[in-house]
Amino acid sequence: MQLHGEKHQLTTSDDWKLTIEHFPSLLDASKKKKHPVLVCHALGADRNYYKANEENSFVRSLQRAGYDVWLMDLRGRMDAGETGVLFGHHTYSYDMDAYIREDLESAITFVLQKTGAKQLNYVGHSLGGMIMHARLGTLKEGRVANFVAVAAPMSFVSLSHQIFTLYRARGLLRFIPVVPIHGGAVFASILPAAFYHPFTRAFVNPDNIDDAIKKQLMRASLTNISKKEMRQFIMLAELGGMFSADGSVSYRENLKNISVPVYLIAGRSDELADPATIRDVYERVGSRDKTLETFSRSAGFSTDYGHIDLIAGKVAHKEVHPRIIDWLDKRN
Amino acid sequence: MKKRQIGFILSLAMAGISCQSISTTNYTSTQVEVKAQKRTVTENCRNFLIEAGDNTYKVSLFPRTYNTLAGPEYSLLLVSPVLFEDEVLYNSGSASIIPWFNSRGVSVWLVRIPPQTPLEKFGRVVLPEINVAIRKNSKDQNWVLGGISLGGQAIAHYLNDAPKHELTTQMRVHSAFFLGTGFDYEYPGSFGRIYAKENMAPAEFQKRFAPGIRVEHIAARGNLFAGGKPVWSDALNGVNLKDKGVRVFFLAGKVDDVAPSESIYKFYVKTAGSEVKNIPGVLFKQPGRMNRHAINFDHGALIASPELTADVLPEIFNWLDF
Repeated sequence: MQLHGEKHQLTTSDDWKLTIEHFPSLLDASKKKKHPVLVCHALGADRNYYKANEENSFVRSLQRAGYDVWLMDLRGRMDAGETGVLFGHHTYSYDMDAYIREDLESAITFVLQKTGAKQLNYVGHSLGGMIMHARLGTLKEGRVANFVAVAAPMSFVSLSHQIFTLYRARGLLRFIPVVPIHGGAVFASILPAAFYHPFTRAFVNPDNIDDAIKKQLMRASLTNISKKEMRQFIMLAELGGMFSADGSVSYRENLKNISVPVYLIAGRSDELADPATIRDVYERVGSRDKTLETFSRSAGFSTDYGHIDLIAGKVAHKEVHPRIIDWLDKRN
Repeated sequence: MKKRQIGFILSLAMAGISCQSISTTNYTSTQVEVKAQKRTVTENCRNFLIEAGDNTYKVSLFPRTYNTLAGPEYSLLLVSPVLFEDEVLYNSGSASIIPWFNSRGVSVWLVRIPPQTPLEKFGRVVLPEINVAIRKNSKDQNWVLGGISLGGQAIAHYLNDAPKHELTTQMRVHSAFFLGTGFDYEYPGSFGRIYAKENMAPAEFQKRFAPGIRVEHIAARGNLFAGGKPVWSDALNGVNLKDKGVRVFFLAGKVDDVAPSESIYKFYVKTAGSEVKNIPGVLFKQPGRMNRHAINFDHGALIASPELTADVLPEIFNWLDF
């Protein structure tokens, strides 16, 4: 990754380190937008894929449009220091509730302190959007002015063959300390694509991303997943929606409490966040200002978008990023 | 050799006799279509005109072309796909649904929905009357209904009253499958809203939604509106297939933008009564690479394509095995 911003480290109230990278607006101060943008990544990934495609990256698109951009890493990502697999100050012992309660709280507070703004725009991809859905609906977060949720479902449709294969292997979680995505992805990146193609297709439309970018992301942007996180995702499929780790709070049910403007984006060929699940979120969210859009060939886009290519696809900078910026501009 | 030729001639004669002996109670005419020069699936097809209500409806029987003692013991009833000309089901220029079933021992009845016919009325009022006539002229006890594309809405409306219709039609519907049938379009960017708003020519429709289908098989847009209103309706709220005694299989092409998962999945959940439990007899599947199919199916590929006959129809056929 060639793009680098100013790195900041902050500490959550439960003593985890988080990394936030700052990319200021590329327009002069008079054209600066009303609110800064906080951007959060997906499950098993860190912030780096927002910088893929360099000058055509999502970060650059926002900067060029006049936004002050803050890319955050959730806990357990390597830039904030190694997380111990078995031993260490911290191990992979966290769940998604920690992201919702602690990490988002710290990141929002930090960005508002640094910028002096009272509210911010939030863009979350996949898990990054799901945790904000949960925070807005359950914790009544009031410092988010506008929310863009890219491929962020709160339920599953029936599992695809590949995902079901992984699901059936869930018993293995008992025998491993962490889901070793990082090492596996780095190793796979040196193998021919045929070895891992069926599984990566669940995450990206292979026709819509450069192979070099895909390999780069596998080496530099995929991270381990904690067992508790993974169990919460399994609950998502088994219980029919996103729940707190102890199963007592239905974050999906609480979507009705959300009132901020929401832009919900789906990719037609996305196998993880099927458009049917994004429609479900759209209908449950309580906001009066809500927009649903599916990026598909029939809607005039170059292809049927998959999960990651909504952010890092070949021409996402021409098709997806401008739509997000246009939506934000109308509210900034 | 001579014996086989004589046998073949006798079987043709028997077919003719059976055609002539069909009850004419509800038929205004019968017709045998034979194309001597060009062998097509229509050469064994028999067309009937059936009076139902104030109108006359064209129904075609495509007899099974393969017989086996252990073969399927049901007939399949399809209705027009509405968005496409009926010919796409038996002579698509690619692999077609009807001959595929015929060659596996299944007779197919094709009920043609006239242009500008509201699908709810057709399914609830007209189709039961047509099925009475069909049933009187078929020995098969078990039936499967197939909803293809938008025509599936008519099937859904019919099945909403399945137990009642079984009494009047004597047609025991064992199973139904819906191939690319959307059940509600009440969401932003839905096909129903796009199509109702945009004056889309067949070539434009083909390019955007069904690139594998010949333009001449795309129905004229005017066929889909009656009195300015679309022929389709919100079947999600108007139809309930739960506990109707009919097994149901919903198929939503992974990249189908006419009947995408978001226009089907909610109806599936309503039918199954649960999002998370596997309910016997109610199935939802997305034909696509994610399920080890050769392609991600768009709407056209679900209507007629080599991949349909290679990947999807065998799964339906196996599911229908009873």
